Amino acid sequence: MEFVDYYKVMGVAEDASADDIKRSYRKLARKYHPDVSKEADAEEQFKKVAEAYQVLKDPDRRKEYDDLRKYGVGTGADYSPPPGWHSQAGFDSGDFSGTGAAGFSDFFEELFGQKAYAHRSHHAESDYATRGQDVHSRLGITLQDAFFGASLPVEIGRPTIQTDGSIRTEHRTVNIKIPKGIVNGQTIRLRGQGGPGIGEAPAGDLYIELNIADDELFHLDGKDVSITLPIAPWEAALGASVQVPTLAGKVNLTIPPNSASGNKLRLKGRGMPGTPPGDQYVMLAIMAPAANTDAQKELYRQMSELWSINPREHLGVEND
Amino acid sequence: MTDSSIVYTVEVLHPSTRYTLQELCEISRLTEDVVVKYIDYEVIFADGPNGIGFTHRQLDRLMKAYRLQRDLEINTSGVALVIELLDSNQKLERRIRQLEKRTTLVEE
Repeated sequence: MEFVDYYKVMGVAEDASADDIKRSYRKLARKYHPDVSKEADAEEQFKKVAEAYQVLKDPDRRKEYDDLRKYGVGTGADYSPPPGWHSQAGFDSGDFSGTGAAGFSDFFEELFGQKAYAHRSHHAESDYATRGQDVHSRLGITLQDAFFGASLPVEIGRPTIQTDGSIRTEHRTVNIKIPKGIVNGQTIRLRGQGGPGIGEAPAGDLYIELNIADDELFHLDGKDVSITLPIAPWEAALGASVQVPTLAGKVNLTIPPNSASGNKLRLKGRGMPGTPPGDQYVMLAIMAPAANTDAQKELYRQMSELWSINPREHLGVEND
Repeated sequence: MTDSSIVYTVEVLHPSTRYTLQELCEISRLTEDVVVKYIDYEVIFADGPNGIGFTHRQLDRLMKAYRLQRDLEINTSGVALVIELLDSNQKLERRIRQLEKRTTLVEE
């Protein structure tokens, strides 16, 4: 494994005061906290920062780390702690600050985590039993997957008890069946797929919040979808029957005569499935064709004479 | 590594799934005192029919509030404000995306 330079992660000097470390943590936590951050890799970054802070904020842990760091930095990917290394400072999972399922890095686990801690712990021998931790995570899906339902490969970080009694996060990819008609932000539960129970107690559950990604054509609002439909001026004025894409395929839509841009038409039951299903709203947008040929220009001139309107009347301005 | 032989069946937590206060505490692993404090500060509220029971949305808010409070060292009143602002932010972003799709920006 690679030696992690926690001072570098926190952006502080190795002789930084406890206050400096705290200040740096606050700044980075605000920037990367997955619940507020817009950064692409916020969760990953925050985990690193939280891990570094767990070590550097505790004087005992920091001292142990400093001793290891003298020899560890620059060893590349081949770092392993000195033989017989056991942390005296340990780590109480009560002040665990990671937010996701994956927990801290192998590096941390090896030095301060439950594996290092297990040598001093007697929990494993006792009759103590408690239900495993529930694990919460998020998954982005496409609108099509939400509409049709899908079987998707998902990486699950699942805390697992090792033979020596320590807990490690095992990553594996499993297929999850997403039922059709999922609404954005809806949560699914996989029973028993969370953290392992201690003693005889059952495992926790895995909760996955499903987030539907923005679609190029369709805008989702609850169970309803909306789409902007460009139409020609003559279709708007005379009325027309035009094809409209829906999530389930194309349908024909009748545009009433004298329709205007911004008018909304409803296709009942063409939204997301459910009881009752959502609707599809079609927002009309009239596209004015460019006048390129003399004949086209002439037609526009004739129109301006036929309709002596001021489209900006409501703005309180007049035609020239 | 994909173990494609196993397909997990999932349980969809419908908007109609309701939790009692005790269930909220159990799932969130927070004490009743902590959860009641969040209710007092209106971070979460009973949003079931007739104001009875909590939906999954409230559980999400509860967990989010707790994580923010723990990791960013903010007090309950501050967390209530952050959650409220995050909500309105999300609504505005959605609205902007919707409008952006409809508008072609013409710059002079």
